Amino acid sequence: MGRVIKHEATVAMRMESGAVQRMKSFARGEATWAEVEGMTFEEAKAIAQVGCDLAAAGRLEEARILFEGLVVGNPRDAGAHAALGTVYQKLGRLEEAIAEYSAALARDAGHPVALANRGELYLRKGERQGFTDLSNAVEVDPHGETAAGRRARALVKSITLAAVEKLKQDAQQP
Amino acid sequence: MVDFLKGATNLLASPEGTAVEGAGDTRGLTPLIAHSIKTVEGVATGNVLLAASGVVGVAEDLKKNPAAKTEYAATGGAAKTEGYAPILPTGTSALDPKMLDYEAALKVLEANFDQLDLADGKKSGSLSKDELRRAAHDTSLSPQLRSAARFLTENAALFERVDSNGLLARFMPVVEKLYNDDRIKLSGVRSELKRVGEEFSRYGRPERPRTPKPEPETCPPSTGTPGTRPPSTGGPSPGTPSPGTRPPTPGTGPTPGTGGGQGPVTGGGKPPTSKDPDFREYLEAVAVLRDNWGTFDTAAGTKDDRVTREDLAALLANPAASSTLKKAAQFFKDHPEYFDRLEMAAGIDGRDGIIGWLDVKAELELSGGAKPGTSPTKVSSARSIVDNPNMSIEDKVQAILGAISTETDAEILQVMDSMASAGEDRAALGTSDADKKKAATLDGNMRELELRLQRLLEKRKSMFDLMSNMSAKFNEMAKTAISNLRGA
Repeated sequence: MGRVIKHEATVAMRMESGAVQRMKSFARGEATWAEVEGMTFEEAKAIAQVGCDLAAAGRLEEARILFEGLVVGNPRDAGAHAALGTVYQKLGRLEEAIAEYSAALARDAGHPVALANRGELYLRKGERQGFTDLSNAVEVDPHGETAAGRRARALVKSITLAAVEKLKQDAQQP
Repeated sequence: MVDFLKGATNLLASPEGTAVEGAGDTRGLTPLIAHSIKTVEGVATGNVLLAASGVVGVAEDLKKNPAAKTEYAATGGAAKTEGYAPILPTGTSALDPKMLDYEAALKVLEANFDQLDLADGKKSGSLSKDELRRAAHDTSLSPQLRSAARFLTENAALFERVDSNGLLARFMPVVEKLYNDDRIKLSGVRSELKRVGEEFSRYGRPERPRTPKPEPETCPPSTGTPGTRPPSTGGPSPGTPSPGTRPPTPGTGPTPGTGGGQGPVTGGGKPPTSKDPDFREYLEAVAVLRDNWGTFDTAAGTKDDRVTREDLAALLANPAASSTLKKAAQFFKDHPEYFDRLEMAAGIDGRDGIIGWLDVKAELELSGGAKPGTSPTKVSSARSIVDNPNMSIEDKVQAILGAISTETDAEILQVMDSMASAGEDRAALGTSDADKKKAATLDGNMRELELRLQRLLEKRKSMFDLMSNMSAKFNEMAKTAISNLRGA
């Protein structure tokens, strides 16, 4: 803010119309920092797009900073949590990635990106929950609108194919 | 890449796995899994083609969609905007409506800073609260100037904003304390004006309350006595006189104009200034008049190299006249104060109801105004600024930089328009293959536009920084010159 306002009775209090009210809401936990700063969803989306481009170009640290900023700005944004999770995952910070996906799913239980990626991570760790997440990801994104949804679909298909074949082989053995 | 799938398969196919129980009976499984199981059964029955296509398809899908691809998928519905600031409808703003008066007061102060500074007979380069208080009650000053001074003295918190604003305060908030000396400087006023403008563009311009309030304005133009400078506020950098070029004029009569030229204020109504919302339209009308001088001149029937109100009326009544000409003529008819200003622009024959060619030329030169959007006129506008003998070098540099900034602003608006239309096109697309291709092209275009917008904004910022730095430098130079003169 960087603004010096001397306390001059009611005159100074008149300055409290906009930003200060929002700051108070933020302090009470009623508003996010994005709301205090006046950041709209469209602006956040544009920033996220830059983050996605950075991540696609392999500039993961810069993408991480952007998405961490978005998450701090609005912790209620499930999409930002999930996107940050993917960056952590690529950086090899798998526990943090799972935490971010879980945070995204806490806000939006049907978030396809969080479901698909957390599912894959759980499967890598050998946890059955992974398959449930992947199945749910396929259910919430049946047309494969997200890349994560499409990957979840392919994974579920391949796992099922292999599992059924293995079952058949086991059944043929005496 | 997908070796973890082996583990996952074992997990699913293990005797305690729930998927095992469902494998033989597809009830309760998702259609996708059920379909996959059927595909495997097809393998067992010898349907090789089906099996091959299934396996290859899955491998391709996995290759096409790598793990942890970063994408931003917003939550659907209204929840997606949760936690973000709402988009304010036009006309609504979180800012205090008083900021409008604050901005207007700052503009008046900026344009008349030297006059106020010299009111006590000496030029200190800054204004104290006491000086402003005196100015607020000084009947020799214009009502606009008085109300601007009064506004700042009555709104102490806003005075502190200007007071603590300096060149470096924006970048280093700690430095604000150094500037906070209960005196306001011209650089602080300009910097604060810029900041207010930024706040307006960010949070929206607040609406003025319904109650009528006298709006502070810049000084009215003088009548333009023959032989004196024409009444003008002097283009984009409105009439801030060069320090030391004009002597103090305490009690010499009515308020002097911002661009020099003293005399009694005549004419009723609102005096036209470069800050008037109609001023741009006025310049356009003058440019139309210049470009179609012959048509205007002969509208009433005779060619006498002058345009009168009769000519304008005749042109408006002429059904064959183009809408552009009629618009310009209508403007002068509806705004007699601008007609008066133009007819006296060259300072010939005073107020005689006749616009001469020299008036048009002088007005366009003085205002630095020309038809916006066309490059030849831009060049001539820049040339007219450079060649203008009535402008100091500081004013010329500021005017040219201002003109460039205006062009950049126009370009930014254009890019934003293009982005908005591309966004609308993108939203209208469906899920068919052709639409997906179009969407990909549009996304590419959008990224290009974003980059262009970013570059333009950077250019604009550097332009503002340059202007701000130059203002500060000129101010320092003037101060040094004055202190040298005092010492001599």
